[in-house]
Amino acid sequence: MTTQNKSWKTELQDAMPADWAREIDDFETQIGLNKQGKIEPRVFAETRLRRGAYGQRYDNGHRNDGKQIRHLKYPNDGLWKGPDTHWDAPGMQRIKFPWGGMTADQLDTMADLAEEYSDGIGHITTRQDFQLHFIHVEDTPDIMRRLAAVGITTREACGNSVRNVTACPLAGVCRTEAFDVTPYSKAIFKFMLGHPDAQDFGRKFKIAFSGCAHEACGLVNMHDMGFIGKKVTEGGKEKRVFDVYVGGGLGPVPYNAKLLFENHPVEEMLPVTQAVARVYGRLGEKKIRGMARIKFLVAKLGIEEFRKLVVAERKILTPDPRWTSLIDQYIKEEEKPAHKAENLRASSLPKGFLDWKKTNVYQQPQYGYVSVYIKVPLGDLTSTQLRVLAGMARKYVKETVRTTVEQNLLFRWVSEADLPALFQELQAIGLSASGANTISDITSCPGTDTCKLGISASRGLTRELSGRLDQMMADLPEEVKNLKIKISGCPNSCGQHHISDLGFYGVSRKSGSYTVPHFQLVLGGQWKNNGGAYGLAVAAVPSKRIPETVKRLTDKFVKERQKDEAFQSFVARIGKVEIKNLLSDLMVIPSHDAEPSLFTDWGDVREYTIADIGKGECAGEIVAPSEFSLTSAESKAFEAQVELDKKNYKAAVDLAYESMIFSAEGVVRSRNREWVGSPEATVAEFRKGFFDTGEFVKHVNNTQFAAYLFKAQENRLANPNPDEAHRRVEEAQLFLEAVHSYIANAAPSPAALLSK
Amino acid sequence: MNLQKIGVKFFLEKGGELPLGSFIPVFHRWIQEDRLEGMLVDVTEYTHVFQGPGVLLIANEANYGVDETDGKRGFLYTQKRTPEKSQEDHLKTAFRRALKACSLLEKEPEAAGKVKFAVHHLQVFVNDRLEAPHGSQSLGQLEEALQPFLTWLYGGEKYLLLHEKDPQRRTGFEIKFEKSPSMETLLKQLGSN
Ligand code: SF4
Repeated sequence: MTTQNKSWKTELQDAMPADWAREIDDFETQIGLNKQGKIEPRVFAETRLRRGAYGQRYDNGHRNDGKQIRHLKYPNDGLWKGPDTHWDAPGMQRIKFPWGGMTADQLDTMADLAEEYSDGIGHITTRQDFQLHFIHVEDTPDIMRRLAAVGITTREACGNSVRNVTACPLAGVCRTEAFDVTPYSKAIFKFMLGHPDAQDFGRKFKIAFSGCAHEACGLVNMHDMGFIGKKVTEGGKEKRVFDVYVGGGLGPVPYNAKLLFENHPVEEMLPVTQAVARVYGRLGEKKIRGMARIKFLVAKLGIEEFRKLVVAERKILTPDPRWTSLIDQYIKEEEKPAHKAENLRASSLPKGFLDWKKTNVYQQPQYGYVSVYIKVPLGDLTSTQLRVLAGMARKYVKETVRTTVEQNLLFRWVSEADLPALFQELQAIGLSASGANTISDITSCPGTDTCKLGISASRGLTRELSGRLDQMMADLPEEVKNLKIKISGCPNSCGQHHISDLGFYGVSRKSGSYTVPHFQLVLGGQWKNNGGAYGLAVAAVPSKRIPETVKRLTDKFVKERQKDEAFQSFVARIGKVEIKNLLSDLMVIPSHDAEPSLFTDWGDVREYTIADIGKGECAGEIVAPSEFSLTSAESKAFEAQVELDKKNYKAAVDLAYESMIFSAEGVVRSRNREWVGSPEATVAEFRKGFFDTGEFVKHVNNTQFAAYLFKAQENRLANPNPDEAHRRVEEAQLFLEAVHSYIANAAPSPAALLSK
Repeated sequence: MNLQKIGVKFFLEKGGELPLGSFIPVFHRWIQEDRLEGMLVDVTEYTHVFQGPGVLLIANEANYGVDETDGKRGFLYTQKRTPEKSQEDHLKTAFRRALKACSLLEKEPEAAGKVKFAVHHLQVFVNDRLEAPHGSQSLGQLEEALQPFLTWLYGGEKYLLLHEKDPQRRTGFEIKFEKSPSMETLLKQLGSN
């Protein structure tokens, strides 16, 4: 069974490209040096992040166990793998699957790694990656070697680099695409991986491809850079071109991507990307992390100026033969089916097959072939499932498997005649659920389960909602079935809540001496048109009341919908005031004794807290002055949204500013209950007493939120355009959320304030 | 043979129908009260997953969990790293930790009278494909290591070994004893009470 000195390094050294092997060896050396204290944890953190080895919740050594904040005594106490990140704390390994493409061997390897190093689960992310959780950093080099042996590099899976390149999972088998964008996404991945012009970014850089403008699959609008395939006719000849977009992004404040070049020749795709990377690397913000994405640079310069810089940069690039050779190479790689095209025979179909076929099977334009969506609950697959899927990928298709941004898997090129057998094999591993891409197929980020920034249990809520919706699926009206729900555990929007019909992101609210997990309801987003519109927060509702929130909204939609009206239009028509009224009773937090379950989150029995606040005997009855300020801030933020919906941009911006001032006042009053001052004085007091001292930032873990206030104070936006107004309203809401966290985490209890 | 990463699963005799979610509060309590050996970190749950790892208590060097792989519920202890401070036989450590957790679980209010583990029916595997690649050599070596240990632990009771046949899975055995000492006796033999 064993020989001395056996290692994955020696076993696999010939199984991967030499440069990949060298990079992993180097990383292992750096692990050793960090352990010996020869590398600063801060430097090591960026090194490991660039290899996809992430931190995970509780790696700072503190965990709320439901009764108290415990200090986790990791074995090598005092040894760090990053600032405030314990060496032995479990971490997450992100694994890139460019354009979502997976082979059977890769599925098998994921199964083995999940068992041996993780918790037996491979998790599909919202950017077509996989993640393994609860990994020890010292295991990561072997994980990387085993991945490299099946053609996967984790290089630049994280950190300030070009992240996974995503693409429509249906590319090449889509009925409405202009052309297959797969070869181009492959070329860009290969070209930009480790490219010297992409090593000096202030933040991450995400690229996406879409084969059309009207569907959602590529989500180009929310990417740092994106390409939408088109065909144009020039001189009587049909030609492939891209509309090139830049500066989109979700995050706390979402930005719509701007059109950089229209009808751009596909051969120019790589040089233009290189030019954009150089401009971003040179001019992008480096110091303030929260302002460093390319969207801020594009917004600051304006798209015209940015375009001029890119054009100038393109002119001085040294020609690289790979600009065209990579595309030529990948265009030749054509996918082939495993079996010949045969029609489905209607006799003796398995039970449940027709329902499943209706939602999970996509008719390809290639006669006799279909693509099959495998609905993966919360994106989680067991090792057993991964292995069976690998076998099926060999048996039914020529390993043409892709992950999707909705955390599912897609088998392409399935011969229709194979569908019943494939369905039965999926049934045997519990993956034959119908309803792929429907309301019950909810997208969710990791949230409080494993993410360091999570505020509420996005996965817990997803589990609960999907379960309920699955049960009701047969009775749901068609217009409800087709809605999208997306959930993030905090405003950072990894769950893509901005671009769904019903979006939710995690926030918290204080009630007496308790903190209550909530979700902000986000409405008005659009999934189609590559994530064509971003929604805005409407109301914060306690986590446990979100199922009722969904029910009321969908019931109202069914009852009051006008002919063929889309949910987004319905929301716009009835208005947010009416929606807020519909939910107002759900937003009221009762006393702890009246409804204790509200004070825990989904799937978690611990009493919810984001700090170790004790319960004062009479604290429940005292209302702190800061709470009055926050209530006013909430109403102003809401009124701002209503004005925004009415397209009164100036009014929206002014109300957003007022909301920010009330929020800042809430912070100041948390220490000085008597505070009254002009807006200027309140901002100055906030800056002096809470920002400059680092107090506010320490408790909300981000400089960006306070920066929104200062920016609003400096520039009141006399003539805001729709984008600016949208952003300002969003920023007011986020500043308010940050203030809520600050109050929950740091502010003295009302009782303590009174006794002063 | 270097048995550094052992997995031990004791199957359930009773309690297969209890909702998986019932074990979540138990594991949180175990962390609060430091009930198990090793450094306990967090609870994670996969109740939405078909025949999966169920509910897990993540420790620094191992995972504890109510596992449902292959549709057979049991308590699984899986070492991922060499247990800290432990120089003892890894089999002994793995069995002691797994059995101790089973015995505690049977007594928890959520499970008392409803859950019983079959200490005569278990599974042992090596959670390391480098040390134990699937094949007759690894199986032979694991059997060789298990035999004296099981004889010592179970007082020489007869047992049946069924080896894992799927070459993609980890090297291991399902073990069935004709008769078995009680859980308490086994724990005593392992130096735990
Ligand atoms: S949205 Fe927030 S909670 Fe969710 S993964 Fe991103 S940072 Fe974490």
